[in-house]
Amino acid sequence: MSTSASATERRGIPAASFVEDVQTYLSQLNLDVNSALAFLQERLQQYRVVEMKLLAQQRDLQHLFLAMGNLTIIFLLIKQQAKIPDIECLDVVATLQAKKGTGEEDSVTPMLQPLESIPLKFPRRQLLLILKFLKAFTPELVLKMDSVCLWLGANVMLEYSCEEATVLLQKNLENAKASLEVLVADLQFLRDQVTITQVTIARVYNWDVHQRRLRQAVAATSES
Amino acid sequence: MQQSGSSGSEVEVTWEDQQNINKFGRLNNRLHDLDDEIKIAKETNESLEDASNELILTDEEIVRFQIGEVFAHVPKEEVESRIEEMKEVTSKNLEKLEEEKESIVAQMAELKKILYGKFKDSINLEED
Repeated sequence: MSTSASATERRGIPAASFVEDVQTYLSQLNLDVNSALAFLQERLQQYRVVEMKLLAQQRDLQHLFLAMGNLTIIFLLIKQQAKIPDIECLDVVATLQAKKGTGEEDSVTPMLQPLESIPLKFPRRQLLLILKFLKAFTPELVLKMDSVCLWLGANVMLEYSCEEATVLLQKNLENAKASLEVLVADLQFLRDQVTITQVTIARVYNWDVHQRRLRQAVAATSES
Repeated sequence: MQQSGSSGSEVEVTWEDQQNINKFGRLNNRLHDLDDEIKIAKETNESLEDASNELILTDEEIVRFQIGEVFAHVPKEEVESRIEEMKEVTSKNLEKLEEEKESIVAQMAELKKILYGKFKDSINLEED
């Protein structure tokens, strides 16, 4: 049995070893055909479970990107409208929520934790953006956007200046992009392992059928 | 796509074959994703078209423009130009997706030739 040239596992997912020769594979595993098939089927199931999980994470990330994109548009829109002098007080509360996560609950995040140390586990976070306009009372009616409050998790909301908020959201977005790339690579790796396992199952089964036929043929000739 | 042996033939599967099969599987997945994305892009295009038609008919000056879960009050002309922009972006995206789809279909046809060539009936590369 020879193993594939690539990694033997990736981020906890075991790689499916490629089988050169079924006979050798079975004797090396020291299993009979049915046990080997059972083992391979179980492997396949495990792969599928992981695949489901990763796909869910991927969907969450994609929702997050959508929300971020909308956020940027709104930001720009408001900045732009702030320059128009004859718009009255716009008390706009914008709620943007990224999809909730896979259902696993976060431990409570302590208040005032510095942002850099908060692990960016996107599927578990909700981003809530509250935009507040301050009405200015000067004749020019210049609208100022004062601050932005960002909801970071179940019990944490922090207030930032616009620049800080933009920087934070930018960083979040980049991390999300990186996560997504890794995720996509994981899914592809997984897919390959599933395919290899499926092919191996078919080959073991066929080999077995072939062996039975040979035995039957031998039995038939020895009887005659 | 299934890979299934039928008659228990003795054709050996090499690592290269396995890699081809893997690649076919990946391409097939990407193809399905692409089809979904193309469908969404086409629907978006239609919605934008409907929206701009509605816009021409309306006589309101300030339009409620939707962004995500939020509606913003935006002057009509600006909404028009925004919709135009969005239409252009969506069209370009659609073009790119269709191109990628063409390339993938071609690659899959190539792989089918190779794999059917070696395995004939022992492999099934069609959609079920």
